[in-house]
Amino acid sequence: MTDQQHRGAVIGPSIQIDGTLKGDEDLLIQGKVEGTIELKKNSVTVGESGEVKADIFAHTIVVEGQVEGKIVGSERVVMRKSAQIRGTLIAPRVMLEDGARFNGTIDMDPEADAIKSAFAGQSAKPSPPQPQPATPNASKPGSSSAGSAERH
Amino acid sequence: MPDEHKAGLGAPLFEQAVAALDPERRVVVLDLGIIRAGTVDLFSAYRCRLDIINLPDILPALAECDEAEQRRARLGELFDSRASEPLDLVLCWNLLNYLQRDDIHALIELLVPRLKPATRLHALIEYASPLMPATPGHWIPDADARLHASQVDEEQIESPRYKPKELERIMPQLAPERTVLLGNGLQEYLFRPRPPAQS
Repeated sequence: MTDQQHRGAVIGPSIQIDGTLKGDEDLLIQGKVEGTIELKKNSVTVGESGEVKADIFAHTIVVEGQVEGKIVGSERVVMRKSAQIRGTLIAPRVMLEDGARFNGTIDMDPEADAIKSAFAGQSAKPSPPQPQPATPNASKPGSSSAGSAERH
Repeated sequence: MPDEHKAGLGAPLFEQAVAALDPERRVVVLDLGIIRAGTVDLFSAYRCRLDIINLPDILPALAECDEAEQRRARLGELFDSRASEPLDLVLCWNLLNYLQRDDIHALIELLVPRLKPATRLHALIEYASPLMPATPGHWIPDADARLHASQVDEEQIESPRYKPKELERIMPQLAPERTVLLGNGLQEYLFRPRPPAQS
């Protein structure tokens, strides 16, 4: 996302912030942030040049750059293909583009305590997604073959 | 792309393992590969905690290291010692083929604290072919839990062709629950923890 496309506050590439960020508008981070970011009713985007070593609490979080820490989204978290994340990601809805690098834990349980405690008293928390598990046709015991593999 | 490629690889034990997960209950899955969108999408239908350990990232370093103890230490660095939530499913994909016997043993030792009787470990072992891709590539599940291989290395190396009995010796903590020889020559395994020996 470019600065021009973004509506809200922007932390430019030359800016470095240590501490706690709070607010009531969307935020695009292209610079460096260490500490805590709390925009629980808004979206946080870590742009491609963004480097964040912080816990992020927001309604929606989009990562295109680097993040180390805890990422808690009450609605959803999106990891773009340029994202590099190390830490814990907690959100009821998670979208990942192939190419994104992630090391850690993705917790997609809408009943997870971390979401409940982080967003206690807020109405931003969505209803849990309806489980639609894959219902593959597991083969009968003793089956001995399956299809062919795709190898590029 | 041929239809059979679009269809992916039917891996009945992977399908069985996924189908066994309870969508009403919190489930914990450990993915030892590089995370892919298909994996996230598949498990997002569950109340899932998905732990990701990028084992492929350290395979080159392990290959260059002669000392088993050093390799064990490198493997240990991948694991968060604070993580304690028991695992429902461990996804090894085809990665065990790229580990030496000592390393497989060490890997399972690292997993033991998080195993419970209901834990299942899924793995794809090179069985039929003496050669395999030089790097593991990616296995990507689709919504039907069929597997699609991508970034398959055209360079090939010798395959260890671990036999079932050999795997049982290497991983005495686990017992094969079911095995299936897949159409592409890979042997698919579903392991479960071996009950503690009665004294």
